[in-house]
Amino acid sequence: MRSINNNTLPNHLILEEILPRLPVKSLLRFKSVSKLWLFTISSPEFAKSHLQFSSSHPKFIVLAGRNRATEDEFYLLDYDDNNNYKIRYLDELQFENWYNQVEFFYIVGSCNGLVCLYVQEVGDRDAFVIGNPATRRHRKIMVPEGVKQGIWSRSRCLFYHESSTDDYKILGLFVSRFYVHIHVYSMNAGNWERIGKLDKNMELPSMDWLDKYEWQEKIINLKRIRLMELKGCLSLLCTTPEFAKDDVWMLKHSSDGDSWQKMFTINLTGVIYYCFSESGKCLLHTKKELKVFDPSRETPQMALGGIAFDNGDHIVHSKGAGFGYVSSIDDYKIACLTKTSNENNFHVNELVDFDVYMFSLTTLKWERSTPGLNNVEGVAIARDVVPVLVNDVLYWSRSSCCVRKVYRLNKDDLSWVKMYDLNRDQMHLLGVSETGKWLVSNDNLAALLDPSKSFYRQYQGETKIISDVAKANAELAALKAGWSKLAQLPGVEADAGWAWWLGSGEVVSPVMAGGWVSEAYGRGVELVLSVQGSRLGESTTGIGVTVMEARKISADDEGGGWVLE
Amino acid sequence: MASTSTSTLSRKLILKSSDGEKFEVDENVAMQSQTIKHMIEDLDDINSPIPVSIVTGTILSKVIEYCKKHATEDSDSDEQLKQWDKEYANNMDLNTLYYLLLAANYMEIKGLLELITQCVADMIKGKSPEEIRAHFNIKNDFTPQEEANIRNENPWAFEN
Repeated sequence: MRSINNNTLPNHLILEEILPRLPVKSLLRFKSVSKLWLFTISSPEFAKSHLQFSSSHPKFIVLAGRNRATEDEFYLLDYDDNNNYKIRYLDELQFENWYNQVEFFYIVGSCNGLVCLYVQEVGDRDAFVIGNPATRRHRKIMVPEGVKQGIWSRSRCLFYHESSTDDYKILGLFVSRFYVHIHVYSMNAGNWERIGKLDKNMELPSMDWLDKYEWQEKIINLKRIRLMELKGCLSLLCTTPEFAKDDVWMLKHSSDGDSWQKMFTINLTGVIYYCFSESGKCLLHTKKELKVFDPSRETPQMALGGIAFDNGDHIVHSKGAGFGYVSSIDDYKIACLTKTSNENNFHVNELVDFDVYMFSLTTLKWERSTPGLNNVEGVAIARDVVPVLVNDVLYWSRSSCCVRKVYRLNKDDLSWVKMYDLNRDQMHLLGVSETGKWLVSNDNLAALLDPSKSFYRQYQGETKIISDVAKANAELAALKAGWSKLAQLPGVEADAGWAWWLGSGEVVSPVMAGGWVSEAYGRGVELVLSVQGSRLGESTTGIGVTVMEARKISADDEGGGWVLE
Repeated sequence: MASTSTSTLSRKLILKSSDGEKFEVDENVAMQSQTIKHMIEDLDDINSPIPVSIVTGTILSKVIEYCKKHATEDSDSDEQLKQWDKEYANNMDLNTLYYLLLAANYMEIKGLLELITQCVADMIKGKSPEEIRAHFNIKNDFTPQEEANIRNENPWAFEN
């Protein structure tokens, strides 16, 4: 039998149960309590344990003002289970000395609470900055020597945690005159490794393109390279210069080592838009049809592809599509926003009379699903993970230039239920989390919404622009159920633009909504996706997929992220 | 074996504290403690008191209060339960909290352990290192220079 002194607890309770629940600021202070505390708090095991606790309070970083290079600012959108939210200027992201004379920067991504930025500085080589907002520490990583700089886009870098080696890595594509060089930076090793190059001038891949890290040649039009993660694999999207054809490659893991395998070729002629579902199915959207196939098992020709409307209508114009799995009915659904006609008499910019069609991959039938809705603008399918939440098709509608309404499909009677009005035209749906919450923003507002709980009851009607934080708070109190997490980004007028996931616990999946580009990175159960869209109707990218490294970020793979040494 | 008994709903268990106090509780209340759950499985006669050896009667009654509240499932919403938890913890003095923490740890009651540890964490998060040392009876084993070095690593963490 043990006994305790007054006010003292066994060390293991303090160190293992209480300390991991403290904020980082307190922990940094408490390093000076004693040597045992210093040792404990500094250990990687503690970092992992702390990450586990803090993961239950996921946060978003919102980058605002990005249209004005000098006023890029970070905001942290923090929320808890009780729908309490906080949005504040994220001064923690001001890593010491990192942003002096920065010409511009981007967020490359975030992972386990670390944030990776790409920074272009005056008079210096470009660099990556991997920082920990909580500790305010960062590491600056100059781009590899000899690579051309300045031409960079978000799509050519990826920041990720490799669970098999417990290492953080940056994968970057750098352009030289004839090649695209692929470099990988390892945080553990502290250096860049060149793992291959792509020949810009080669148009088609050859089949001997298989040597592990020696990429002999490749397709590549540089403007059309993109990295993403697909089914837990790091993927390289690229395309032929003429956007006509692409090959898809995947790196397979085996005991003999990794090898490249060609998965399929996509004919990109007429492709308006494409996307992948969380399960890795690929949707191709052309002017005439939608194709869906499973790239790991089927070729597009053999698959369910070639689906066209079978109700006699022709699709003459299509404004958007969504694709997702609906677990409650165990079916894949495609939602498509189209204007159907037997004659080509539509006008591209016309907003009226678009219909939502839903396609079931079980019945292989299209159904028109827009009774009573006019002026539909966009469509998206939110991902469906938590069965109790709404997992129907969500789509956006616009009935005037400044009011946008969001409806959801009631799956019981297939009627459309109005969820809420958005009062600003520029409202973006940035992402949908795995638990079904929506992150939306417009010029100066950001909100995290739980459509399953609160959309119906709230805030009907009036246009309300909340102009300052105090007022916003007051409004929030009044608007309890609805826009309960609407918040002003102080002083921000420009496009809030992009959102990134910080922390963990949920995956934020990219959602195409009304043709807006949306992009999000997540960490969670299965995978991180980065998907690029564009305004539908414009000619968009063709794709190829090359998977460089198979990996999976699962809930078990705690990255130990918060101390950056 | 007692655990093979068919009627599990209304069974009563008797818990005996370290100072000999006895508490009769419903089995589903007591089973929130993993420790007791395991003890029952090994027990020949469930009518004999189950010793909860390091927990005094005063503390055990508070533990049981928590377990009872959390054993009745649908009576309260999550929010009400959280509110109850909050008031429950706020009504404890520090000493009681610590004994409760020990009890929750020993009895392996996950929810209670989380509640109390978070409560303690909230109490100490704003404190200075000096206050922490006093609070937990910790001896400062740094030299002044070592301590200064640590402080200088993250001076902002010492600002308010």
